[in-house]
Amino acid sequence: MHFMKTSGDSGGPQAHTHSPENGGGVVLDAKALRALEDLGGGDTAFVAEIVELYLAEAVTRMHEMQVGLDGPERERVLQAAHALKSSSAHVGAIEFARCCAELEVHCRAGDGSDDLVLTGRRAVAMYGEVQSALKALLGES
Amino acid sequence: MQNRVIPVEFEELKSSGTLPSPAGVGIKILEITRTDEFSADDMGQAIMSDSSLTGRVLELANSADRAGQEPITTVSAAIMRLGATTVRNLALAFSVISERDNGACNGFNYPLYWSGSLARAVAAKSLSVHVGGVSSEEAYVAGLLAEVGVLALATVHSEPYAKVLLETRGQPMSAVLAAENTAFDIDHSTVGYCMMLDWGLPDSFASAVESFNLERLSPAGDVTLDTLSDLLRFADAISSAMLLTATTPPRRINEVGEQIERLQEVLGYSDADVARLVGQIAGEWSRWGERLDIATCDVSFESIKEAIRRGREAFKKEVSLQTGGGIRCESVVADNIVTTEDVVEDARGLVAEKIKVLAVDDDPVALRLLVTVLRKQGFDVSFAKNGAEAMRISMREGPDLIVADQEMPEMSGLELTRALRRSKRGASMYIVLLTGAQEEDLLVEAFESGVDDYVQKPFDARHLMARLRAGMRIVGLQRRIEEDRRTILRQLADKNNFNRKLKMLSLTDLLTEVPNRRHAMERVESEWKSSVRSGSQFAVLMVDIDRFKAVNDTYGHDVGDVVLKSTAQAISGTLRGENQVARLGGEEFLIIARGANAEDARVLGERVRLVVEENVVEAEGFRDGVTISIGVASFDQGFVGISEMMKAADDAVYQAKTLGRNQVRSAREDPQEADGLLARRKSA
Repeated sequence: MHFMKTSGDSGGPQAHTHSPENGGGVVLDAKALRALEDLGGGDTAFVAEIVELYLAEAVTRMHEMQVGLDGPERERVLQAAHALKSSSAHVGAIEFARCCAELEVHCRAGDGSDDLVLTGRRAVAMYGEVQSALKALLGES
Repeated sequence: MQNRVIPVEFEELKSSGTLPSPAGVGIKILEITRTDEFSADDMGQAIMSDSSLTGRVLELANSADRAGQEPITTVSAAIMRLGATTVRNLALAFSVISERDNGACNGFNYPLYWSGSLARAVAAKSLSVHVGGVSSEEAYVAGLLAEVGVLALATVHSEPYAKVLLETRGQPMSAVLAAENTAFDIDHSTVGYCMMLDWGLPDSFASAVESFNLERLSPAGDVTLDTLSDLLRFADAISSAMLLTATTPPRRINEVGEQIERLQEVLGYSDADVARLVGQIAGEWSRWGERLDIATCDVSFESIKEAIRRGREAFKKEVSLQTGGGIRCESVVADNIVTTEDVVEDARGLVAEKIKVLAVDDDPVALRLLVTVLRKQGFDVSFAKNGAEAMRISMREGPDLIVADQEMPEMSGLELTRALRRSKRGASMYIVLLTGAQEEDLLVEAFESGVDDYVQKPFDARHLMARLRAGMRIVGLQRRIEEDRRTILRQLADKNNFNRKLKMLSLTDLLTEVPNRRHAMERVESEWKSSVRSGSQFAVLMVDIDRFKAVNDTYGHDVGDVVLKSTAQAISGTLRGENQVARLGGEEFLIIARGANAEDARVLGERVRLVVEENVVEAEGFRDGVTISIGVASFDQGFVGISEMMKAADDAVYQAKTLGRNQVRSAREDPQEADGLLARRKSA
């Protein structure tokens, strides 16, 4: 699979595009993707399976987050952010995972809805980049 | 039978401490209801402390066959409607089920046992509604516990019982009972009876279940549906038909077919009626199976009929070829139930060292990764997508290690841990919690709830494995302890068995194999005490073989020994119930007849005398009958003590000999003399 070749990182999955939503940080972390590949014993199909699982699950979670932000319904946002936090890290979307963690903290702390909505919007935008990057890795772009 | 003596063999099984028994709330209920005058309120409170037990009791109390009545919503209302004893029995039966696990007996099909027990319970309940006479709840409990003796033997004697099962595979139940008696000196019907009495179930109930276990061996010809044991028998036929698998022997399928036909005849049902009945039973079976997490399958009367037809064809072939089993007919009704063959295969290729791990996470990505990591390490991995599913799998499969996410909807990792720690099986599982947050309060709460370790999410595979290695060490130690415990229990069981055999030998006459004088005198003493205490009757019959010295002198001692053996067997074969014959020494025997007054004993003596007279003894150079003289003495004849009674019986034998032998004489032929003696005992 073409996404297993990297540019600027020898021998592992690619550290992909940089994110304008996060001050230019990487969208997908090469080290995390390599760990995922190692876990599957170098089987590219395994990485593809995990990424597909993630993308399918993320559709529901992002929808929940969006509805929660529109409400705003803090609990709904919290559940979605919590779930996305750990699974995103597994597929290398480290920055997006951090953003979800931040969002989770806002929800738990009961911070004002402005902070919540601002961080939430950032998460939604970042997810768009994560999704594109992952689809590109899968060769669907 | 009232006040039956609990055999020492059962006491030994019980002393092993491993008999299946109610646990938790069940134990509390047993304690509360130990006497007849227990408080229904206390029992209700105990049941209500367990919400799932309460739910099951209420569901049964509200089941469809009670349609038209006001729904019951509280345990106390259930007690009012069904009676305290019925509710108690239901609660105990459910409590036994909740403690079930796949025990150590390789070759015993635990899943099939529970599926069959539940199907029988539901079928018994349905039949009771159709025919009346037996309460539906009583029928349900009886169906559920009908074969608990089998489970008990598999649990206590796991290894030797596996051998019994393998050796009797495909053979009729009579062969299994005989093999059980040979191996353990007790069979599952007696064990089941004793267990039920031990749990405080009424003697009539336990006896009915025991009769079912014994009578299912005989043809269905004369059975009606008037008694609980008949009801169980037909319910068993239905449940067996619902659970025909590829390994059910054709002989058994033929039996089931006969019983179903007989049931149709007794109920006057057409095929369509039976199809409706089976459909109703199958529906309820599946519903209860879901609630109790017991495997069930889709069944229709059509599939049963087809399976029976094929089974019968195979049976005919078996009979005509005289193969004595071994033909497989693939008559499958229950296709998703574990077959006995699978179980035997499992037993043979036991993957003893593989550690079982359950992975639990509602996030599919994390769950997939977790399962991959664990499988790579060679664990036997199962997985669950939420806490409730994890709980069910844990109870069914008994994993050694559980890795569970904390944040899950409905049942969190902590709630799962608490629920597991409350159960017997879950108490020893090693639980690792996956947590996103490293909040101190949460971690303290986690350890207080019984979590053994935690790993932060998103987990790193190497880190997770390092934590799991600590768990594996604990699991290894636990396994060693469990193995040691089993070895000790097995040694204890062997020792008990050996001691019992020694004791039995010391109480048995080696030549005739009937009890010896020592045993006889212990029994007489016990009967005497019981009669003095309760006023019940008993009698002794002193038996002496006529002209035995002449047999010895003429034919030699070897022939004399054959005469003694043959006569002992003839007498023993005549006695019923709790009457017993013992050899006192030489050619003298003693019959102890429980419940017999002077007249009963005399009639018994006459029957024994006739049987011996007609018995032809065959030995080398000898083919003849012998006769006996009998002296009877009974408790109602007013003797002051045992010695006087025994001497009177002895004197009566002497009289019989004097009057020409081959006859029965009573110690007090004159009733006035007996009255005088009775007055003397009262004043003594």
